[in-house]
Amino acid sequence: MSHQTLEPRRRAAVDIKLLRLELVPRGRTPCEQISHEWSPAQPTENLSPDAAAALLRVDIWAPQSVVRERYKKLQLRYPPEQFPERHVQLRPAFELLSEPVVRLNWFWQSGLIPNMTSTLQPTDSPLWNRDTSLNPMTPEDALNALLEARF
Amino acid sequence: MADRPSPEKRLLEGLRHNWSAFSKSLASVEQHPQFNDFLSQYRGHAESVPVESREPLRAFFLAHWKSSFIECFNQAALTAEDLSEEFLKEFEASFNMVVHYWLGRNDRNFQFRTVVHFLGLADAQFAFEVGEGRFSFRVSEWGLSFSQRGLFDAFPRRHSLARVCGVSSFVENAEPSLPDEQKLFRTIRILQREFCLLMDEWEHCNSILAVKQFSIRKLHQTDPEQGQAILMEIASVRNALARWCVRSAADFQKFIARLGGRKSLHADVAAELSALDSLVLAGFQKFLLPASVSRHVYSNDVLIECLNWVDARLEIHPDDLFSLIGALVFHAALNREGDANALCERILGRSFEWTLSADPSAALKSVCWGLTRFEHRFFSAALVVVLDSKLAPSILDSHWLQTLASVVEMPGTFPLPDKTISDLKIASDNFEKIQSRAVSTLERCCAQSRDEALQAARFVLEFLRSDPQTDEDACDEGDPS
Repeated sequence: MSHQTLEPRRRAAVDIKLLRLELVPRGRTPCEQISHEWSPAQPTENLSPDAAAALLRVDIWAPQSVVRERYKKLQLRYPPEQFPERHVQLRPAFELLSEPVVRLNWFWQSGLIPNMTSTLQPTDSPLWNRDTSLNPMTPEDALNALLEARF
Repeated sequence: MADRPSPEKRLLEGLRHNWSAFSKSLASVEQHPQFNDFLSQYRGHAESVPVESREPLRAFFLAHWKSSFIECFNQAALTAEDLSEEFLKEFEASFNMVVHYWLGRNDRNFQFRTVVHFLGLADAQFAFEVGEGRFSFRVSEWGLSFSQRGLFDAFPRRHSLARVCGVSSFVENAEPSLPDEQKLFRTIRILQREFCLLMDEWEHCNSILAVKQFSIRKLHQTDPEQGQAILMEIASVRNALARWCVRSAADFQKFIARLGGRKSLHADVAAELSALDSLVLAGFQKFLLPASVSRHVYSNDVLIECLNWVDARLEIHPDDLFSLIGALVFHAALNREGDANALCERILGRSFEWTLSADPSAALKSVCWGLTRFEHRFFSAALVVVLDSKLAPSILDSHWLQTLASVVEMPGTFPLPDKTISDLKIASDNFEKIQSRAVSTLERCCAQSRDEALQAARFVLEFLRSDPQTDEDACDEGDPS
């Protein structure tokens, strides 16, 4: 796991990650809106957003439509019937990155805070790219926001 | 004179001007030879014995902060009238939000609290004069507080997170251009990240409080008075912390409701927004837990923030029974009037016409001390019916029966007197219908369960059938019609 994209929450939080419950629970819940059934084939515990992004060759924080488009292209290039073993890898990666809730859930369970940077070009993804992505909030940002918000 | 910024703004600008001095002195602790060892061991708790070798650094730190504050106030050129208690508390809230985002070495374990614990600053108080104003500040592990009269809260004030996340300054355009959409996408991502961090902070602070509470368990026998005082302080910190968290959640939810009402959202923006919506819902459920975990009774101001959250959620999810039940139980706990008839009609109607976005039992448990016996019985019966209609396959298994049993026994575990006056309006035939459906569901469960599940089902069933006399009295009071 590369440390460029992830920032440990607190030292202890990484140690306790196995104890951490899912933020948005699956299975034992009547929640219609937030229960996303995970496909049983998905090796969620072993798949990190970094690995998924490397597989699909997209940005971790790419918007949903960008991930979908990329996946569609890969499916055309490697049709699932002809490249089943490749597709077994691609599909979970697609499911992890294309659904914002699933991605947030992964970060929560892993005990890590997302570092929301991007390497996308503005032409590939107008909404979210290297110019619009986020740096961690600093006290100066907070002060500026407070001055802007109130007056 | 009309163009002169308000005193609040002038003071914040003074702070912006001097912030580097504050952050320099915060970072200066890492020069201390013992600091690296301290940080590697640090888990959010103060050391029991103060260390003498840190005394000079402590004195230096406090003197430096004091002079920096005087500098800020002097630059703002405030008059004695400006420096009211409320004005100081507002500044306290802003200052604590700024400090909230300070991290040393980019390490989340190295926060303001770390510095306070390393230097033993907790409860350090200082008085100072600025012009004609005299006031004092106090340092605690939760932040800094200011006061004129030396009245400090156990948990200093903080602004809602929405203020620093660009929510309140967010301007909507009727026909959004690309930069508007970019800004919106960015703001939603900021909210997602900051809400994750808020929940992380919430869990961290709660674990600190739990350790505190655990460490005074022996004090109750040796010095009950001091033990009680510490418990009271822990309770007020819990309230203020929850108030800050729930208020932030409510502000985020209002933002979601505001955008959710917009018809043409970009598909990517809509997906991120709905993820944020689920995230805030999950966080809100966490904020309800102290009642079940520590038997903590939330104060009214926390419950009012809970109601604000529920109202904002109902704006975009009017058919969500989690929020509808939540609204009624929070109203009941606040001794406000509530009308349960609409809820009953929905529950008794067709189940595909409403949704259940989360398990309502946490909300019910968190305020069960504020319900009368009758209200508690009604909501428990409603919970049985609601869960039963939404579960697939339609059978309450052992897990859900245990949940129901814990809801039933919860009020008895709070050391509070029973509430007797109910302001909940409910027609008696609606109550009867819900009650009889709950009973028949549980009878079906009893026939199909065994062992622990059977025990739990019997326990809940017994509760629903018990004590008709007292309950009918309560029902009459509750329903004057």
